[in-house]
Amino acid sequence: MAERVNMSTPANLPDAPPAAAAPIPAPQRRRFSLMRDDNVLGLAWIHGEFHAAVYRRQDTVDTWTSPTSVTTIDDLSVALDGALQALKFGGTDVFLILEHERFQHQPEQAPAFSETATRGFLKAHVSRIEQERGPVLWVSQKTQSQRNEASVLLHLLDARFYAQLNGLMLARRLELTRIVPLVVPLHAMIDAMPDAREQPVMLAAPAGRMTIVVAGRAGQPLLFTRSILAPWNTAAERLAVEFNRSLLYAKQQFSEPIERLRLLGQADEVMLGEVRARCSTAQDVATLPVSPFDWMLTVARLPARHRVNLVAGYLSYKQRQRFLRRVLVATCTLALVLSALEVVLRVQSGSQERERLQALAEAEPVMRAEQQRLAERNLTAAEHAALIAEAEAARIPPVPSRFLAFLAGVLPAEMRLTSFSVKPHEDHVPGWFVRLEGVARGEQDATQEMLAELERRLAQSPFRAVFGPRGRATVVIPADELDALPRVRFTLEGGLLEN
Amino acid sequence: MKTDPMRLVRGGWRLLTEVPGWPDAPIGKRLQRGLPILLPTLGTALLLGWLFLVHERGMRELRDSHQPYLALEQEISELHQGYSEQQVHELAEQAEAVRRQFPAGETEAREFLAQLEREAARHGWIATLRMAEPFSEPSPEAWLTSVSVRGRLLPDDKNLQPLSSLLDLLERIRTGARRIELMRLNISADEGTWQSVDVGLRLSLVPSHATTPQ
Repeated sequence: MAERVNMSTPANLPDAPPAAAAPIPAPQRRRFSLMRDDNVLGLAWIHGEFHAAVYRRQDTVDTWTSPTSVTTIDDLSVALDGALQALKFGGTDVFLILEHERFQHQPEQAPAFSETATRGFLKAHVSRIEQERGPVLWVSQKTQSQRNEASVLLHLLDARFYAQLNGLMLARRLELTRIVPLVVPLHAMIDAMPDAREQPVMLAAPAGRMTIVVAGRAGQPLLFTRSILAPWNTAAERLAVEFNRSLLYAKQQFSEPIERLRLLGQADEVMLGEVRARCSTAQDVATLPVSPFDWMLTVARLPARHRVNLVAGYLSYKQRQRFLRRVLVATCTLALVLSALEVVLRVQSGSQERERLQALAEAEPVMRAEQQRLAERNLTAAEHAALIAEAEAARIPPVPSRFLAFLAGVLPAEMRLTSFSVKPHEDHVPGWFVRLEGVARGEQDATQEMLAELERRLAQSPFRAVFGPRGRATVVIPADELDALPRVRFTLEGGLLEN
Repeated sequence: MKTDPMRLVRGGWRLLTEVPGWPDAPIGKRLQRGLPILLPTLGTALLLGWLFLVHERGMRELRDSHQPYLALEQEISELHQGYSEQQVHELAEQAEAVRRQFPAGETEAREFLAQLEREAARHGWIATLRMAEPFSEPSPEAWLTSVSVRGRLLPDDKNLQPLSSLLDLLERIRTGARRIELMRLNISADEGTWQSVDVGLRLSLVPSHATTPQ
């Protein structure tokens, strides 16, 4: 189940006001290198204890623990320098597991009918807190709720304290990319327990002069978390009582009987005996040999976008800046390479063009002569083409002779022509004028039919002959002999559309 | 949403030169950090500046100074594209062949008509061909002019197939080496007997001023 959190983190941390009214001891000089060191420095400052470790790709490289108690910023400055010197850390990224009196965690109930309402409520609530205590960095972590309200754990870090912390880091060229409370690695440890999904488990962890208690199931939000002002091992009886109260609280508030209790870190037999004696509901009490370095390793292995981070906004800002910078470097380098390539190509082509122009200038007389020759050649060719076109245009199709040949083929045997005339129409009218005169042997009706058939065949011929009614009048000449047929004179006058 | 230009500039400067973990790094270190971006940018600007302000300008001036030669080269290219050598050769041959189809001058025209009369005689026709005046005065630029020719054909005594011999004759005239166009054909016949054939021809000839071969 994904945790939903709200947070308020300044994104422009490098522009934050310089830290601290309180003077910070001058940092030791660190070697500056433009080459990027991808190692990460993990710090755990937990109620007076200070641990540091260097991680490379989520594996521990080296560790260091402050031999003295670290309670103030000045103590931290000294301890940090000691850690940097001991670990020879050359990178810049730092995460911090912080438990401090100026870093508070308080459970809150918020309206749960919408995310916006929850967020709005929390913002208003934090705003009221800021009016009372001054500005804070905050992030909310969802916890289990038995009612119709959203239960969250508000982590509130005094902004001035953060400014001091950040100033301390920046003075040593370190970038604080994560600040997480101790409950974050503890919750991650519950998530990693294979049997914690079915049965809830309670973890108790030493945190300097405090003891932190968290309870929950794997893969779910925490049931609750408590900070007990009692040091580990030296207040065994009191701690055992508080553990039992926590177990009862879980059963009462969440109906979750917790049977397993794990004591993280070194617990002596006295403490174990007290806890077993006081916590009757917990049937399974055991110690887990976990050190702050295990918590730091857990945090180092958390995804970069883990929400419970007081400076998550700065982390995303930094990642965005780093990505932009890489894109910019790649783009500029690519542009330089492409520009160089373009210059080389242009210079080469320019050199060739220069040589060509020089050759052109030297060949001018030859080119002038060639131009003259080609112009004359083309002029002559154009005249020849015009001559050919004109001669072709002057050609007249041999319509008269072909029509005469065609007519001789279709003229009935009973008909003889006495006059045949074909000539072009006058006045540039397209087509040809045709006039036929002749004599047909036969009756007038038969002659008319023969003429009609002749006209039809001539009309359907390629000449597309069209004859008008005028001039078709016939004159019948009686037969000379008794048995002979009369003769009929005819005239056909029309036009040929073929041209 | 208002954009603060100074904020943008500051953001850009920070992006370019921010030293990780050293926000107040001195300007020297910042510039050193920005070198991977600044150097290629500067190099690109210098290269492109030289390319467009020096090299390309020089090339433009060079092209301008050689513009007449380039224009001449272009003109020659266009002249080459107008006709290929083969086209020129073929056109010359075709033009010569066309020119040979027409008699050059009046004398050759009369000789041609006399040839036609002899051809008609070989086909059994007694032909009389008379050349009229030219249709119009040929312009000095014209290489061809036309005259009308009137003719009468009478079948000789031995011509027993006047139709086929006439068609043969007309086809020979049409397909002969010299061109002459048949414009009019009038045939007069009695019943069964051909009397006369009147033809109107158009003869194109090369006028005397254009007889000089080009």
